[in-house]
Amino acid sequence: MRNETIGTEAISTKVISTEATSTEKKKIKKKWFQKTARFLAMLSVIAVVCALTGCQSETGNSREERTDGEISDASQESAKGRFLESEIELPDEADSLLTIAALADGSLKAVGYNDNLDYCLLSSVNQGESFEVSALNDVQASYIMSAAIAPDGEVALAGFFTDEGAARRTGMKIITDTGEIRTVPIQLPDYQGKDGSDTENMILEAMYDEAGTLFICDMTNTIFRVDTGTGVLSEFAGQLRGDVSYFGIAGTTVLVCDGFGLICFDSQSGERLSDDEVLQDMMSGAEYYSSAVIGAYPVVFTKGADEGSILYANNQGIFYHQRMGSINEQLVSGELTSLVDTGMALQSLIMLDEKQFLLLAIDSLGATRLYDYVYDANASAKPERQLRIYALEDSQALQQAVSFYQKQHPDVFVKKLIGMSAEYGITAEDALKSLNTDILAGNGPDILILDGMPMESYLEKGILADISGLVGEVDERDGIWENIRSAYEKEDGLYEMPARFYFSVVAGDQNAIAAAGHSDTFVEYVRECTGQQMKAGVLYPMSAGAVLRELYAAEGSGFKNADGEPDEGKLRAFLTAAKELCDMGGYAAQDSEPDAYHISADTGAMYGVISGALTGTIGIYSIGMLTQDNQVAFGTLSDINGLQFLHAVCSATGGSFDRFLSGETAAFVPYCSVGMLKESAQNEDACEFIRQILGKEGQRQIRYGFPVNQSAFEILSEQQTAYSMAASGEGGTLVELDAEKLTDAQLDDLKEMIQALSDPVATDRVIMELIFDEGEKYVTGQHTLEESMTTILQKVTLYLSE
Amino acid sequence: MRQKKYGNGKGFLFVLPHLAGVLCFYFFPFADVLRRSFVQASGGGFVGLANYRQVLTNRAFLLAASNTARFDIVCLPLLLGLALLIAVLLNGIKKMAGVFSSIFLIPMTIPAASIVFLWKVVFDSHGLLNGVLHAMEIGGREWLSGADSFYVLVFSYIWKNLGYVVVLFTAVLDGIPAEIYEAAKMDGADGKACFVYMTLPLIRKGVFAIFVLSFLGTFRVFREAYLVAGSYPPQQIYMLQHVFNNWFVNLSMDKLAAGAVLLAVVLSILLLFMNRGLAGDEGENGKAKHGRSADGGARDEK
Repeated sequence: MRNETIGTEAISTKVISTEATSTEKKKIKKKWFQKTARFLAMLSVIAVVCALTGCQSETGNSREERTDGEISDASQESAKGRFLESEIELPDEADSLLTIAALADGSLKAVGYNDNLDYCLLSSVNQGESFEVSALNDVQASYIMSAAIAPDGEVALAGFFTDEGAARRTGMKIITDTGEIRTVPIQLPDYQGKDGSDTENMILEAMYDEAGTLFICDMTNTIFRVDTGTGVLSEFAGQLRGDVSYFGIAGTTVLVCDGFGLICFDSQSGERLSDDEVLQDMMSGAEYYSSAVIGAYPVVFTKGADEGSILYANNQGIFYHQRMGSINEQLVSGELTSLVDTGMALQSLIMLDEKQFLLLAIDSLGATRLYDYVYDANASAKPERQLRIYALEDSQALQQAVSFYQKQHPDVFVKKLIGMSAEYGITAEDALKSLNTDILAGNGPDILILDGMPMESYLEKGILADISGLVGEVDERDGIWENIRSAYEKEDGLYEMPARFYFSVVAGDQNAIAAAGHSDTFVEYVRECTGQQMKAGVLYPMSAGAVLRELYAAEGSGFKNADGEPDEGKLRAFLTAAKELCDMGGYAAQDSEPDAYHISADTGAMYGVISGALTGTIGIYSIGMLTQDNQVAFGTLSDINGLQFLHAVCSATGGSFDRFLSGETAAFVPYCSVGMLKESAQNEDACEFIRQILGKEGQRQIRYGFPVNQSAFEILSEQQTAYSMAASGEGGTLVELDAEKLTDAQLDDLKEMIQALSDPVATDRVIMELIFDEGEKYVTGQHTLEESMTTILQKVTLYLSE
Repeated sequence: MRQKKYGNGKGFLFVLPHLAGVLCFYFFPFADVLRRSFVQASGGGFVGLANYRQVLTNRAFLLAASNTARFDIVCLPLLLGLALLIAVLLNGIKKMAGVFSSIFLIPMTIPAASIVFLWKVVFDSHGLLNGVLHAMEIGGREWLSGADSFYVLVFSYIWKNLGYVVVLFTAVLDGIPAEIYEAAKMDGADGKACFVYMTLPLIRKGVFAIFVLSFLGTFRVFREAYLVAGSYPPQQIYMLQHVFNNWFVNLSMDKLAAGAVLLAVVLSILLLFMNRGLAGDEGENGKAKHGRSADGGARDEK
């Protein structure tokens, strides 16, 4: 029984024990499960956090890569040693240089000239600290196209010479190392222009190799080796894929760019060397084409210290490359120097030693610069301070401003961020979204170039800093056009300021000027003249887009009424006037664009050296008045040179000019408007950039538009020079023109015109696009006026109501 | 019972990574949007309901909201009705149903950019359609830049999504047991009666799911409208996404946040109502069924 009991108890205990074991097992299982769950949960959280951190650092890296072109790291930031740029001042007798070379004895020799085209030789025995100048009167050169200097000091000059008793002719002269001058009897092959006409052939480029052999390139785009004793030419560099864009020499290697890439030849044997793919890869598309300036190139070469090494400079910087080697070592970063100015054309590169280079270049303002790059072992490899400047599109004005600032502040790395890219198909809208994301994330740029940006929205959101204090400082020091400044002043401050501006003018006879005060009277005048069927067309034939843009520049400030709504009446008048002017201009799709006009100068500079004289569209349109292709011209006037040209045209045609639509608007077009993000107000570098771009010196660096700084305006007025030019009309009429220096009275008239300007043209991208896109449909007859008006008004209203 | 209610937690583990993603990439960003809707765009100062007032009085937003609502009201019944009709027809012809379904799906495989190009070729003022109309001596129209652009967009949406919805309806219809129809027919029900009294009630839950998918799909039509006419299309096809996109370009984050919250609220309410209306009874039935099965489960346990 007991046993049974025991047995029962035992069984019962066993059951209990089994139950207990089962519960325990469940508990253990549950605990294990909970632990595992916790572990997995932690793991998941860690994974997510790591992923997010990874994303963050990835974003950070890509940003840095995108903006700097290289991945930065701590070691690089703390690294020391960098080439610092400084500029060597040129003597007054030779403010422009054709070439410079280092001679075998270590001295420097250069060929230079001044504004009066007085040529001279310069030599320096102290690496450019001072130059000894000797005039080249005996050479009797009227214009030298190209110059080359051999290592022994022999100088070759190619261009126009006027020997005593002889007519002006092209040729080549040699100045030996002993100073003896002799003419080289070169017989260049015949050359026919693009239109098939016979044209005198000329030498465009000349260079010596290390052994003192002279190479030239003529207008037939052929490279010749020259026997300087006899003048015999032997053709060099065959097997090219296209015309020679330019060539350079590094030691005894001749590097020829044939429009497709670089081909290397041995200068002595003439044999083609094997292709250097690494060097080739460094050449961007732009470098396949020759520079617009004769004697200057997108890339220049010289021999490096090691056998077979090449040094070359381009817009990206100065590089070392061992021929057929696998790397290009960047010695000087273009971004940290004046080379950032893509408008810069390079002339010569010299290696004085491994720690010092000289670079001769013509900047985008047309001024000759001799830069000295010296290695400073104590300078940080990359400036520790950074200034970020954002613009939707790159412009020469921005490049010039950045380049100047960089030069003045070598301790600051100026990073130019360009939003739109044709290469990657980034639209303005995409760019603005990306910019906004950066701003919201607190990674916005310091300076904004506000051209084309939604300024009103930015003002409303309060993201811009008040720069009235900075502008006030400049105003006090140099003077700012009061009317331009007050056009941007808001009740609570000043948030943007254009660096430059331009405005519309009209040129023609007195009746045209009288009628051009208002668009309706001007259209009526043109209609009357067109009805009289005069010999010349009344207007320059302009495309619908061109007419709309020119008219917009004149009255694009008045399309909103006092309530901020689109002004229907003004918009209607604008479109009607544009259509009538376009129709009466007689533009046909097959008509050439204005820039197809052939511009040449009797100075011999044919390929755009003086094209800067024609900035502003009025210059282009008023050429037709000279060639009697049209009687009236309207367009934008943007600088002193343009005004000189306009005065010359009016003087030659008996006409005059005035502000276009002066009775309706006082509009001006702002250019390169600057603003600063609120977060950057404490960034002294950003403040300094604003001070500089609006300041006297900074303003002088920018080529296009009238300066907002009055002192800069005065300096530019004083620096103007007379120039001559020739233009041919559609009928082949060749007209020569002398643009004289402006008189004080003429400059006063200009100031009066400028002071009358008070309304900036709306440069809001959305409104401009809506008006131009739909306006073009109306002007070209695809839509009726009502259709276009309805569409524009609907869309602009929608935009403004957002 | 507790263990039954929450399971043993394994399901939670499986859901965890996804849940973490939802929290990180949806919940927290939306919480930030909610915060931004009460603060200034710049500076972050609290402004209360000012942003909401601004949005609700904004003409562009109101126009876009009304256009979006109009688009939904026109498109959804058309799309669902047409798709159901085609699905019922396909259900009746068993032989080639698969082939037809595939044909209907082809528009879905064409990228939006290609569709836009196609629409430009067809609907441009100098396009194919106007060419045909001119040949028939019926005047052409501005299909893409006037009031007609709305109907082009409606056509585009239905053309692209019809096949997908047809396939979904076919699947739903396939889920109805054939025996029910056979029984009904034996009881004397004709085809119309079967459809009205049997098919429609039985597919209500499926219709809700299809409605939600199609409804959310209407917001994707912005791609086509944007690619055809840019940020500022004709007023008739100016949708909510246009105004949100443009607010972002203009850095109007305050309005954008308030607008997004309003849209989320309206959509949630709308979907809740639709859920109650279309799937409500099913839901109740489902609950009852669940209850029964739970009881059954309890019985089994016992």
